[in-house]
Amino acid sequence: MSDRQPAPEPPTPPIQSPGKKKVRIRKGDRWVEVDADSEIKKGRFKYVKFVDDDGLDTYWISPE
Amino acid sequence: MPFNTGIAGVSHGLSSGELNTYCQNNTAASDYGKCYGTAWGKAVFVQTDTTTWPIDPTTGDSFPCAKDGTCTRYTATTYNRYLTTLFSFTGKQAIVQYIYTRSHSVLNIVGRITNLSGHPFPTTAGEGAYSFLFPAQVYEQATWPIYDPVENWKAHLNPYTITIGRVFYLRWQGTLFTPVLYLYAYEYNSNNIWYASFVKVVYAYESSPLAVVPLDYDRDYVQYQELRNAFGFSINGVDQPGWNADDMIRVLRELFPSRAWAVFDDRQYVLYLYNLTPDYVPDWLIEKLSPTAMKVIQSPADAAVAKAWLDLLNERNAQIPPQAELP
Repeated sequence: MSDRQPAPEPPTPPIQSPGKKKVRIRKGDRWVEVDADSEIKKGRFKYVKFVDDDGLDTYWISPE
Repeated sequence: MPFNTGIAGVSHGLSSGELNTYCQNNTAASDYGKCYGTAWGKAVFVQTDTTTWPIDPTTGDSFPCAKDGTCTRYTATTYNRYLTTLFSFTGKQAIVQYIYTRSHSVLNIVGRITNLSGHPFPTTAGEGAYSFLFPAQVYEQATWPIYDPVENWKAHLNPYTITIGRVFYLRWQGTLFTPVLYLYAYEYNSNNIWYASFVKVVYAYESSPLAVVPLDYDRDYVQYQELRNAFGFSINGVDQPGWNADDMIRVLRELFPSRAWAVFDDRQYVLYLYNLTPDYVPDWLIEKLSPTAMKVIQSPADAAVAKAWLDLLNERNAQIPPQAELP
């Protein structure tokens, strides 16, 4: 007999809207995962587009 | 960043490429009143005779260069001609660090660099060349080119020749704290004169939330007294510091509901866009501000409004290449 516990279930993948991509962005002092609609390039930077908590279309700088 | 750098470039008919910009002020010449080689704005021509060259309310100015759009004609003489305001902050100071002027003019320069007749020159006071920028004018050298080791002026007369008139270069580097900088030309009450110029000023100011909206100082800005308390004016439409991004958004919403504008929050590093999308934000502005995020407060109902903002912003910052192209 073994007292080994069964391996924990893998975490359920987050629900993702079709056509959106999960992207981690740095907001203030923490990392946040957002559903990005698209990506744009401006100058040296790349921004991901999503609707932020304030309801505004937001383009956030991509860490990648 | 604790400081921002502002660059204001103003041209009156003189570009960096054309080296033979001039106007004809010989009244006996067949091409009297014409200007040649003007680019980036219009040259200035003072001609008071409105009998020979009348200004008709419907057909406009009959003076040759005014008619063909190569000059701005003035019909009154003046000692000091106000040309424009380079920046005007309320309660904030800029630190002017660099002044460069290049001009073509028919007026004489009488030896010393303080006698800048007919040459547009930035000044903190409401007058022409004689400002406290020249505390030691009587000691200046009278031989060209000039280097004033005390005040750090460099000036050059006629480094190249033009068909009519003189070429004048002036450069100053130093430190000057001021909330306002105007552009004046010292005309010494002369008639039948012309000049064309390019002036560049580099200045620093404390990091602040910015109103990014090209405004006409006399038409859009001054008449709204409340704007003075919300943010400053700069001719480049970008370096317009205020105190509070939320207040600036509120004021701009009220005053310019149908125009495009942006507000940069320098604490969150967020660029708020009104009647704009990031497509219209030029790359050079992104490089300058490096926003962490752009937020669209309102999408443009009319693309022409957003395009007008971009075009004017590019035009007023033509010295900052490269310009962004629309997708």
